[in-house]
Amino acid sequence: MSALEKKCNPSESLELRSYQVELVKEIFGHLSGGKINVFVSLPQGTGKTIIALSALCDLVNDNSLESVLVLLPRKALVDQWVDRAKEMYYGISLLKNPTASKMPAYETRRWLKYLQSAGIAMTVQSFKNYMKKQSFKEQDFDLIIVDEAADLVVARDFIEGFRMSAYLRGLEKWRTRKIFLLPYHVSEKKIKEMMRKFGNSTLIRRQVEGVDALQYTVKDPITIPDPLVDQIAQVLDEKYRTIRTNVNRILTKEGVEGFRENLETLLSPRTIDSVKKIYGLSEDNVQQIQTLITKYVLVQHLKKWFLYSNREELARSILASQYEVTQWLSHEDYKLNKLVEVVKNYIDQRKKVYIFAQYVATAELITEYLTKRLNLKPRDITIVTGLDEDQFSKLDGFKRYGSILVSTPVFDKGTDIPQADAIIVYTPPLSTEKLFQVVGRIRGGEVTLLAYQGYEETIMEQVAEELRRAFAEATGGKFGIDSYL
Amino acid sequence: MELIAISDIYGKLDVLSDLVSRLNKSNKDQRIAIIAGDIALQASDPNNYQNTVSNIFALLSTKCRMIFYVPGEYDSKDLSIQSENIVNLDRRGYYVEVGGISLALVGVGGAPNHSIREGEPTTYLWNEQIPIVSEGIDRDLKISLEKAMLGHRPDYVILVTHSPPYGVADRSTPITLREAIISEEIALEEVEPKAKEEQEKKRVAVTPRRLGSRTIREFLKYAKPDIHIFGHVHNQGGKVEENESIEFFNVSHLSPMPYKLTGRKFLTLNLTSSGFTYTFDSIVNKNMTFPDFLETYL
Repeated sequence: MSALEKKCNPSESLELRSYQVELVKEIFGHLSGGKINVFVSLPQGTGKTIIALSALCDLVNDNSLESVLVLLPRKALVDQWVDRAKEMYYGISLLKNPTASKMPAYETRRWLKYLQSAGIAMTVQSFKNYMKKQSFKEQDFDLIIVDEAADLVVARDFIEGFRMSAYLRGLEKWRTRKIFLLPYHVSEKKIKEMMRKFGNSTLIRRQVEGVDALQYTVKDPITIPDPLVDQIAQVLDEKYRTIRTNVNRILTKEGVEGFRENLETLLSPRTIDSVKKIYGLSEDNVQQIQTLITKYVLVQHLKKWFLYSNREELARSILASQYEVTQWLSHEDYKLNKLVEVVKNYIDQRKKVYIFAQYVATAELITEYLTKRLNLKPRDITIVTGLDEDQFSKLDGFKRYGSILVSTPVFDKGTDIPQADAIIVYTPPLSTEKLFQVVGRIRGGEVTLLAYQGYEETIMEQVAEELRRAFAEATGGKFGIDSYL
Repeated sequence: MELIAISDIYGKLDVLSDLVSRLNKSNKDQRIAIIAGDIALQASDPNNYQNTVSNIFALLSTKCRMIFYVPGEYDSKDLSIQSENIVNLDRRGYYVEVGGISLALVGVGGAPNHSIREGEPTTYLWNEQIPIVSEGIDRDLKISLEKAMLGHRPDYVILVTHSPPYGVADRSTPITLREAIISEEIALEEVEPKAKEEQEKKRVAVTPRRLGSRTIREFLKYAKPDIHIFGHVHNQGGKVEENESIEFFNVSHLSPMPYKLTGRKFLTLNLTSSGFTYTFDSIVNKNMTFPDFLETYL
């Protein structure tokens, strides 16, 4: 078929690498051969999205596809996906981010029909809302692409509860062909669990030869001596353990099974009600359990505030009146001072730095502090958090002329930041797996971790070690980072 | 002149009593108190409400020359105390000179209904989405301020409201996972077609958002007071912001609940003719060791 006869063509500037061509053929072969679900697990930087787009293009040209549904975890990623499709392929036009509240399903169908669009790209949240109204059926689509599908795996803990699997409920029953794109570090065991759930699946998982191995240097954590913060963190940790033990003791006494790993779920009115009924817990016991868990949650918060430099919150809390805390708040944060030193060193070498902070408040504090201490102009330092709607345009600013990017884990998927020469991990991540993804965005460079001496030092040393092993294995090892978590 | 500002007492006389015992009696003539609403809970304890409120004022009066207050959304809208030293500023203005410093005070009580979760036992809400309500508040505030300023050039103009203005120390974010869980529970509930409207309302009420009043924000643009004291949004308590020469103080909350970490708080402002200084403090025993402190107050 000549290019003119084809409905879909790649743009002139797009040239697939040989392994990408092979992978597209393989996906196409599986889908044509009767497989319904194809899971593709490849290392970061191998062009998973391009591969999916190319497979999509082939299916359009094969006349076996009229409408596709692309699902992604976040709106910003949907925008990026659609724009990329538009840039790279003529003939693939996607309706971007319709929402159930603004655009009923019949309108989206009409849109697809009359504008001859190749399909719809939306967030998993929008998909869930449409599904609640039973607006879409499996017959509406010939192909479903779930990009950044790593989060489909079973939730590891309560805090990371926002897993895609919750949003895609019901999709496993659809007999529509599906392509799931996952990063390589998701363990094979987990992918197999997902494949079992979806049935009639196949897995394409490989390291790609010919793709340059990314070079990372994970330095030993820089430790910052601050005996007071270490002492406070230890007290809070001890308190945390005591409360947990007390709750566990009550649960064991009352014969309640489970919940030990995620005690917080017992604060949910629905959960506690059902536990009350099943195990016949008295109102007093329930009250006692919930009071203890609330305390334990507060202790966790406090620990974060101390370790993650959230002085603003601390200064407004009653703790600010306790004499040791007053003393701690009276001097400048030693960790922030150290950060200034490290960042200055990079800037003096004309290097671009990406600073990772787990929480928005910490990212804001870092930005404010660096701006003041290094006398930065707004264009020099860019802060991007989950609160920003224009995450990618802000990131563009950093890529073009910025020196410092301060960000929470928003850029963990789908976006590369090769312009950054180094990444500084200011706070321990909630999950090392996520940090690995974040660090992977800078496409090689130095990784510097900052830790208060003592309590936090041990955690950061473990994080550094896990990152080193994960990078070593991602470039030739056999196991993913999940094996260590 | 010393100004003590508190809010969200919820009838907790024991904490207030601790606060009062810290105040030096000899400075009484130089001191005024401001209560920015939620003095006690009318709906939960209607029989004792008036009594509790009277006790609170009586306690504060022992150490303060004058008390200015606005009712909060849990107070009676018609709360009034028969005393010339206790002034209700709800849609009223007042001019006073204490310790050589002159003040014009104006206020509005209650809270906008969008700032409250549905089903709360509130007694004083207003809907600022309705133009006549919003315009009414704005008009009353303007007239009250004009009356208070009539023939005077006060050193300070102070606005006292229960609700924050929109956009200033009014962001409601869950501080504990408990709140997050409850929010999530509601957000995840299945939407039945019939219950859709109610569900939408619920959703609006639980999403982390700004709880402040746009009507108050508009008045601020007009009046440009020197100081704005408010409460209501607990987890922003203790926040101080400055914007267009207005100093904003969220003084919530004196009661130890609902957030143990941000409760027991009060503001002290020292006003002189050349400017003012402020400190936020907590009613706690500061000399406890850190573990004892956690055990006692958490």
